[in-house]
Amino acid sequence: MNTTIPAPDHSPAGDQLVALVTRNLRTSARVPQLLMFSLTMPMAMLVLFSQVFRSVAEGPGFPAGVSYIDFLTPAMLAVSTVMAGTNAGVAAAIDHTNGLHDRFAALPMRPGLPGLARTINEAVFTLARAVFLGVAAVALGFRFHGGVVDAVAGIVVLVTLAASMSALFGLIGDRLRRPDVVQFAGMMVMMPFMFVSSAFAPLDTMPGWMQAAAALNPVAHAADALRGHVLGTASLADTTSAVLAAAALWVAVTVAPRLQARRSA
Amino acid sequence: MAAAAVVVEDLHVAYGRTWALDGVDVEAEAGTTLGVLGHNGAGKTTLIRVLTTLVRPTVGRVLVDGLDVVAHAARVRRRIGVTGQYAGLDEFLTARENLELIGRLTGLGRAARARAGDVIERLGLAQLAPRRIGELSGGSRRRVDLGASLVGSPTVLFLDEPTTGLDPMARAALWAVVEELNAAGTTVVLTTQYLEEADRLADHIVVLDHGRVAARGTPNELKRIVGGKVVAATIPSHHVDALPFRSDTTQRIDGDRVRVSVRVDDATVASALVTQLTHNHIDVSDLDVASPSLDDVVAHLARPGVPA
Repeated sequence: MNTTIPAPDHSPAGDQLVALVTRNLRTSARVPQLLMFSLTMPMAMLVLFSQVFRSVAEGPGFPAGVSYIDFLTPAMLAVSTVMAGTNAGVAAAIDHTNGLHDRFAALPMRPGLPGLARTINEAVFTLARAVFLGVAAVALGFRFHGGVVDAVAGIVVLVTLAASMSALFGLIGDRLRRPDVVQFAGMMVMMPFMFVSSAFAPLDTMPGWMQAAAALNPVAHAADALRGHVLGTASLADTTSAVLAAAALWVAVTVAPRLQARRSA
Repeated sequence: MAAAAVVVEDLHVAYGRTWALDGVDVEAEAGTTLGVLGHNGAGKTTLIRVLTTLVRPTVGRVLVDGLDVVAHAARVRRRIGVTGQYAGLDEFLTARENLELIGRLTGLGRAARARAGDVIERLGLAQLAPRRIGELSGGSRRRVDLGASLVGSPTVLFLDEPTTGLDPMARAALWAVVEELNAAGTTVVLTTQYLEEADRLADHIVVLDHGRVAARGTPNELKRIVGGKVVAATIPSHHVDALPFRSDTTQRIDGDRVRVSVRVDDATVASALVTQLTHNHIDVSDLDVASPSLDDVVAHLARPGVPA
């Protein structure tokens, strides 16, 4: 048999990306348990947190006239995006253990494509999670106070955050190369992102160093911006700072390692 | 002389302070099979990783199909296929989906589907095609993995210990495929710890030891380097002290029998040794006088732990 189809000189990066995204979506769909848990866990957390931390709404520093469920839901969106980001890290590590990482690296393909494909997947699942979370929130009395612009801006903030988290955890997965280790390392990284922020309680109630650290935390910026859009009080500056903080993290974890590799080569 | 498909000149690769490869020169002519033989840690996998653009040489020049692996990595990747020590496949995809994925990532676009079909037919994978990799046996995975490395129609195929862990039937099936590819003009670079495999498949062999070439040549030339004959006998273990020679290798067969062997200069010495075994009243249950195998070559040239 001599069916030799010569590969074209320039690889169609678009088709390669579509192939990788399709592969990731297929793989996710074939582990329905993981898919189900990752979509419904934020719902369960929202229900629990909204009951456990309800008294926060009566404490000092809590914005007047805002219900705790309206305060919590946008933050839960941001937090669940961080939690789901670990999936991207585990996926990257699995590609190391099953040999696919090396196989991909020896193919005529841009090295950043598998990571980009994981990011697109995370964005898709983030939006799906937002729908699930929204349903649970409405059942608990949540109301969206913003307009169409707020909704669109909120989606932009959420997707940028998902992209930066997927890139961050993807890098961790590529460096640690073992899914079980990545899972634990992911928890360690996730905690400060989640709690050094106004996600669960107003920043004013926290020690000074935490407030300073929150200024550097893209999740805190995203939670604030999303909350602003939900309450209809967000300014352009809120949205911009959330997008910029996420973009800065994305650049730091994707571009910087590549520059470093180029320099040491 | 045919053009060289693989040229490795003075290759050094450092991992931290250790030299994984320490001045290796290797060449493989187009359309031949090069066997890279050596113990674990000899540098075989590192050599394959450099040739497949996964590791950059610290020092030295490496060409695949006439292209420098550092300067033209992307073009090299278009011409090669790689099967590593572990099957590089997605467990949750079927065999066919894996092959199509690799085809599209190789840049075949819509032709990937037809090409995957060709590979399935050629390797006799039709029954495995609709099954997920996670459901397949180790041998079946390796066959699909080999298929994945062929989807891009490579001119040079790298196989890193392709049959490690396979049963004899699966191994023979894989050998048949390699021979067929080779006959069709594909250059094959194969690393192995199985000497039988190198003997059977390779036109030329390099023996790596501690990151250096310990020997090179055709299988027959290498056997001649060791030369002479090997006398091997199975004897009761309590007769070892009565042997008329000090054995090169001693292998326990069962509770009270061992297999001993010794390399001698020629057939006359071998014959004298055999006579002496009887003379010493050693109870020999199995006796062979043979030319050295590649195992003997490696044991002779590349002893683990002893620098060459």
